[in-house]
Formats: sequence, structure tokens, C-alpha cells
Amino acid sequence: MELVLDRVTKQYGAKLACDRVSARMGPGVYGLLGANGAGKTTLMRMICGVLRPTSGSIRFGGMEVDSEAYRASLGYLPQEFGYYPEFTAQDFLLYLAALKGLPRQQAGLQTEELLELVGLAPQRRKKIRTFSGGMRRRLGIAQALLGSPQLLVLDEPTAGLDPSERVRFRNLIARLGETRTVLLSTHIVSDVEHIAGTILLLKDGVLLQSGNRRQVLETVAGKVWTCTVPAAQAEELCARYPAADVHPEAGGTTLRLIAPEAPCAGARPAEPNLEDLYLSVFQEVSGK
Amino acid sequence: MKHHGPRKIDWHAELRAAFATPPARRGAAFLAGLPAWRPHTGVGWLLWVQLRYLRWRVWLAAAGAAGFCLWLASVPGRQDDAWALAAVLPLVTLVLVCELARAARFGMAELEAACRYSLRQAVMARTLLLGAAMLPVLAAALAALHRMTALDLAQAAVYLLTPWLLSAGGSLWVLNRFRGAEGGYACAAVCCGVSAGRFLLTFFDEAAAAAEFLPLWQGALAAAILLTGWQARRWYRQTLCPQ
Repeated sequence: MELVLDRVTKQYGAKLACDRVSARMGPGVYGLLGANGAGKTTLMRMICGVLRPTSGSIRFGGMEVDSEAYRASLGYLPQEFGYYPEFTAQDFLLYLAALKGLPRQQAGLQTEELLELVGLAPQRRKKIRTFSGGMRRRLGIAQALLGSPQLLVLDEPTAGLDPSERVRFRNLIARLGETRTVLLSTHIVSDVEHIAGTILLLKDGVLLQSGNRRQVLETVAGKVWTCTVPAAQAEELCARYPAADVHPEAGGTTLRLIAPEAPCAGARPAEPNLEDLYLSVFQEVSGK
Repeated sequence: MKHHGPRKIDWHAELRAAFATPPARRGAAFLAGLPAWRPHTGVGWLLWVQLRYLRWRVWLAAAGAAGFCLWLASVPGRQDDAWALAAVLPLVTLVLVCELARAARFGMAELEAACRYSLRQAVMARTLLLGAAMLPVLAAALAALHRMTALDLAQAAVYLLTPWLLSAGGSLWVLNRFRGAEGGYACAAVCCGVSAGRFLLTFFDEAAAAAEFLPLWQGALAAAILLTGWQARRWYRQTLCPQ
């Protein structure tokens, strides 16, 4: 089953939050990368049917986004979500399982399995208001997996998770992506680098580029440089070019810069990574 | 030379072998490509789910208000307290409106909107159930007011429905402008204000209930119906329809 976005557009007055975004996503993990305000959350909310596109269409396996069958195949983790104050972790999952149409027995079994999976089984009967931010995030991931959805949409899924939880989550997503379509958006470039087979770059509502890691990094091939310069020169270079890394050392300051050509004498070309691509595309210049 | 008779054929085995189903080819791929099967659970299931998750205070408020109305009507010599019937209804409205707006209030709306049974279906089911909770209260208040005063049912309905609809319409007006906890507090202010206003009117009750003021009450009821309908439509569109 394939998720097909056909010229999906969302307009608020004169502002285009999403501008004719088109993509086809089969089984696998897709990382949506973009700066704040790029339109990632707007796009994800349209994919989940929470927002209606101004124009364009969204289909999954031939099903329209506003159909019950589409929503039955969907698992969604919003960037921010709440909970009814009297709910325990178990109540929360059982309630959402009921809204997803799961029979009671199946809901009970899946709730137990998912709480084990996200490491919240000992807290199943505790009120959610006593949970830390990371625990709530894990509970959110668990509810997204209720009903074994074929399409998983995860908005900032690793926000608030500690490094070991992030690694555990990455492994889980990688396994799920073998047979499902998983779309995740994040600011944590390393998450996308490790688990996304396809990377989609979104800027100002426009899908700039999509492809695997090697393909998207071709944009910055030959544009990443490292050099060691005195501190004063380092400051000048950082003001002129996006700096992926600034590392003061005894002999000077080591810089990793994004520049169309060698930014200074002695600059050596470096192997680009996703962070370099992010800085290059979104024109982040330190100090600005 | 041995002569062998006709070969005995096991027709059962032969026919079975001849018509046996061939082994599945690409069976695993076929099954993997089938759309996910979901059990059909229906409207009844949705109503049952929402019924289990309505808080007990809804039923307590409705039962308490209906019980109060019936008790007041059963106590002789309490005709002067008939105003209390109309003053109680806005307080029940407050409980019901807050229950209806719970998903938005506690940030669950987005999660519920992406479920198989959408937020719209869940809230419609909740509205049906909350309406069912309100009906006995209205019926009890109407019967009590009719019994305690000389008013006929139609007139009693006007005096009861006006403050009730004013509190409902006013609460929805507030919810269309304030989200979160502020909306809840503002609804409480509206409903308590209507209830208190109805109490203050008791000082002019005999005049207010006079026949010549009935057209005023009917006009107020019509305005309250329009306000409630308009704000309810706006609230449903804002809350339930993807923008």
C-alpha cells in the first residue's frame, strides 16, 4: 500500500503553509526534515485528516483521507497532545483502542503488549499526570501503534526521550518500517540519518528534495570544508558561511563550514553529512 | 506367463489426486497486499464507548436536578420557590457543556480526530447521550412548574427553556472564543450569571409571570433559540470539521 500526495496545498489567507507537495511513499521509513515553520506539522496533520487541504488529494492504498477505512489504517503521534486527567496509562490506551474500533479483548492484549514495548508496564495503573515528559512521549508512541496501523505518522517522536530511549525507539521504527509506511518528522538530524531510508526536505511549504541519504547529500557534495584558523579569523568566517562545527583548540579554532569553494587557505574538503545539508538548505549562519 | 487381471484402481485416491487444489503460488505476497480487515463495530459500539467515558458527575447532576424538581413539586406550600426550577437548569447546562468540550479542553481532540471513529462521530455520540441526560431534567422541571403554579404547559415551557437556552447559547458563544481552562471558567460565569439573574427576577416574579409579559418571554425564547443554534453550528464547524 502506498501513500500518495498529489499537489497537496494548504493556504491560510495570503500564506502558503504547504505548496503543491507531491510524493509517493510505499513501505519504509521516510524522514521529513525542515526548519521551524517549514510546514512539516501542517503536512502531517493533513495526512492524518486533522486539517483539510486547500487543494490536492491524499490517498493511502486508494483510500481517501477522510474515509473511515483510511483512518482505520492510520497511527498518529501529534507533536503535542493531552490526556483526560483521570486517565491512567492503561485507561488512555483502552479508550483510544475503543475509538479505533478494536474489540475489547484485542484492545486489552494490545495494550499490555504495547506498554511492555515502550517500557511503561510497571506504570500501567498510574495516572498520566504523574508521568515525566519522556514517559508521556512513550505512551504517545504506544497509542500510535494500536491496531497495527499500516501508515504511521510521527511528529517529533523522540522529543524528550533520553539517548537510550531514542536508540530503542529507532530500532522499533526500523523494524516497523519493513512492512509499513512510516513518516516521521524531527529536528534531530541523527534520527533521520540512522533510520530513514528516504529523506524529504521541506522549506517554506515546498518539498525541495527527496531521496536516500546519498542522493540528498549530492546537493552539498564538494561544499563542506574543515580548517583550523586563529580565533579572530574564525569569527569572521562564521559570520560569512554556515558553520556546522566550531571547536576551539590550543592551536586555533577548528571550523566545519559550508561554502561553494574553499573559504580560506588550508581548508580541506570533508565528507558531507545530513547536518551539513540542513545548514546549507536552511542557510543557518551562527550568530545570525 | 502370468496373466494379470485388470488393475484395481483406487478411484477415491485417483479422483482426489486429479482434482486436488494445486499449491498456492505467490500466496504470501497476495495476503500481504490485502487491505487490513477491520471488524465492523457500528454506531451502537460508539455510543457504548462514549457512555462508559462520560464522567459520573454528568449523571449525578442530571439525576440530582431532576430529583430536586420532583421533590420541590411534592412539598406543599412551596409555590414561591417555583423560580428555583428555572435557576437549576443553567447549572446542569454547565456540567453538560463542559463534558461536550472536554476533548478540546484537555488536548485530546487531535488524537481523537485521527481515530477510526473520528472526533466528529465521537462528539455527535456524546451530544446524543448528553441530550438524553438532559431530557428527564427538562421533563421533571416542566411537570413540577406546571404542578406548582397555575401556568399551562406551553407557558411553563417558555419560562423554563428561556434561561436554559440562554445559558447553553452563552456557553457555546464563550467556547467559540476561549479554549482551554479559560473557556471552562467563562462558561461557569455565564451559567451562574443566568441562574443568579433568574433568582433576582423572583423579586418581580408575579409581574414577570403576568400574561402581558408573555410575548416578551416568547421573544426572549426565540432569541435564545437563535443564539444557541448559531453558536452550536459555529462550535461544531470549528471543533469538528477539519479547517
